[in-house]
Amino acid sequence: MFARHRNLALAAAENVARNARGYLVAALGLVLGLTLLLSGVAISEGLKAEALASVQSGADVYCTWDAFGRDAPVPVDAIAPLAELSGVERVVPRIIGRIRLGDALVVVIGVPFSELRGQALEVDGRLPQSNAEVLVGHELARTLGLVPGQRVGLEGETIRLFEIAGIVRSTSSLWSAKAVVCDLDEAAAVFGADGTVSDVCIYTRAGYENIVAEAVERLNPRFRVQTKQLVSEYVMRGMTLREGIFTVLFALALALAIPSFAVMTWLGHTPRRREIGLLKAEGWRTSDVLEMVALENVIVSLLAAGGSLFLAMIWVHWLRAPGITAFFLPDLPLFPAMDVPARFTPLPPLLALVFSLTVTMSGSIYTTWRTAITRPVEVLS
Amino acid sequence: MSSAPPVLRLVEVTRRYTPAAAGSFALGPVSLEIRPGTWTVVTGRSGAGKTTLLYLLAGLDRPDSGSVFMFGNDITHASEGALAMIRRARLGVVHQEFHFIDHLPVWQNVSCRLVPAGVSSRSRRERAADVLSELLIQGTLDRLPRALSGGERQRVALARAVIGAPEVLIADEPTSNVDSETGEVILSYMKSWQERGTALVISSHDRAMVEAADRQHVLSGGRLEP
Repeated sequence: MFARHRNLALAAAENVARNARGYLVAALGLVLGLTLLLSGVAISEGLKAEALASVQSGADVYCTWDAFGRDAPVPVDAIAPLAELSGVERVVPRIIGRIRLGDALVVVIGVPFSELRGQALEVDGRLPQSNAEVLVGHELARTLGLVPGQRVGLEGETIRLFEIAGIVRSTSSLWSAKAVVCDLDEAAAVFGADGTVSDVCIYTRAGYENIVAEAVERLNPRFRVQTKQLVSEYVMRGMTLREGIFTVLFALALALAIPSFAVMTWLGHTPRRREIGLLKAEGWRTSDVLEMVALENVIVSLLAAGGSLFLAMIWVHWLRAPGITAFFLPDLPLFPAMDVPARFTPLPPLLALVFSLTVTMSGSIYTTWRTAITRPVEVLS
Repeated sequence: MSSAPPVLRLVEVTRRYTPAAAGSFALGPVSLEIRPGTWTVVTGRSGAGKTTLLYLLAGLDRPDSGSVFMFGNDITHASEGALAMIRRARLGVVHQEFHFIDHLPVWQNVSCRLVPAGVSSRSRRERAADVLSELLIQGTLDRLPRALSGGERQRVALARAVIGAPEVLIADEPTSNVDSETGEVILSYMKSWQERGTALVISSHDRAMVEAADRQHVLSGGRLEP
């Protein structure tokens, strides 16, 4: 019994090799659509993983201020008592805002420079050593042609001049790609933040996250508190908002699969009608013919899914996913210079295989069956 | 003449080409018995229905009425799968038009019925080589059908029909369009199969084929004579 399946599999492989041109056209439609889909899924998974990793490596509790039921800047005077709470190890105030730098809209992150020391930041140049120095994200540096040692002016409520100490490398976190990192006081001056900060990051001892969060709320009810757990949930929820992109990519894959379906239907009927009739005359059963054709479909589907995965990896990892990245990260250009965060997991390629099998099988099995149940004499006459 | 039960039997079989042309039968009613180890020749003018008769005997076509028995079983309404199994294991057919799969080399054409039987590629090739060698065309093993001469094609078609060691060999004009030397090879090879107990049913106008036969039938007006 196994020998029969082996023979039919070998015959199927020979048929695929022999009809390479036809099957190539069929596979090409699948590969194009699936490459887009797999790349999209990989980028989405990569962004999700990076976002979650950032959250995990970040603070345990984030605090903002409540003003009319909405998030508002935290008064500087309210920060000092936070450090006194039981379980709190470190309190880091931040100012985050956006300003225009040249033609680019950039994110300015102000943190106490003392907090940067000891951080695992990969930098071309060096870390800032005074308030007059800043770090610049690699994507921003590439866009504006910035290099270490160059001077740059940040204009918000006031204009401040800085020297670029270092460029944050593309291997670092994605979120720093288009950011300028400066000292907290300098950021306050740029944005005219009079005695307030955007938020406060609290690092706690292990297991104290919720206890500290409750303590902060008790300390001053105007604190709005988010734990690491809550931020992770927001990140995951934000990812689901991108489902529309996948609907588009899936529709595209489906549209590109139509020619594949048509080619498989044609291959299963017109050119092979005589061959199938002859095989039936020679003692092949309909099930033999169908099994051979199904195995051909499996081979083509494996090639299409494997090829798609291979191309998606090249596109995303080597070519940095030109064209598609902007759908996920609107701030990035069509041809990003940075490494696009991507994660290839086993499930999407498996689903791609199922998709390919569905297209090829539905395209060929019925027509092959119709041909195979025809009396041999009708084909041979 | 063999007294063994017939391997093939047609009982009052009819087959018409176009159902619309009611009453205009290509064949029948026809009754015929083929016994093991016999040589039966069917002659008749072109269009008399010889090929139709052979296809009915081979289970490649089905009658409009009457019954077809193969190896004692009524296969008139047998499933395509059951007929395929009989053709694969017990029957060999030489088609008048050869009907090769053009893109397969000769050895794969000859042995294609052994693929679903689970015979390994190596064994299939060896068995094809043996049969082709018996027909004196061992050099054609790896050639494509289009590269063969007419005589070689005829012998390859015969090789394909006998590779499964059939109990019945049905051949449609096996020596038409071949030279006398090839005709003799084919005739002698078919005789060797008859000696092994295979029943031969041949449609032919070849005098040598007719002379070698145990029984001769003439198909005329859709009916067999005598």
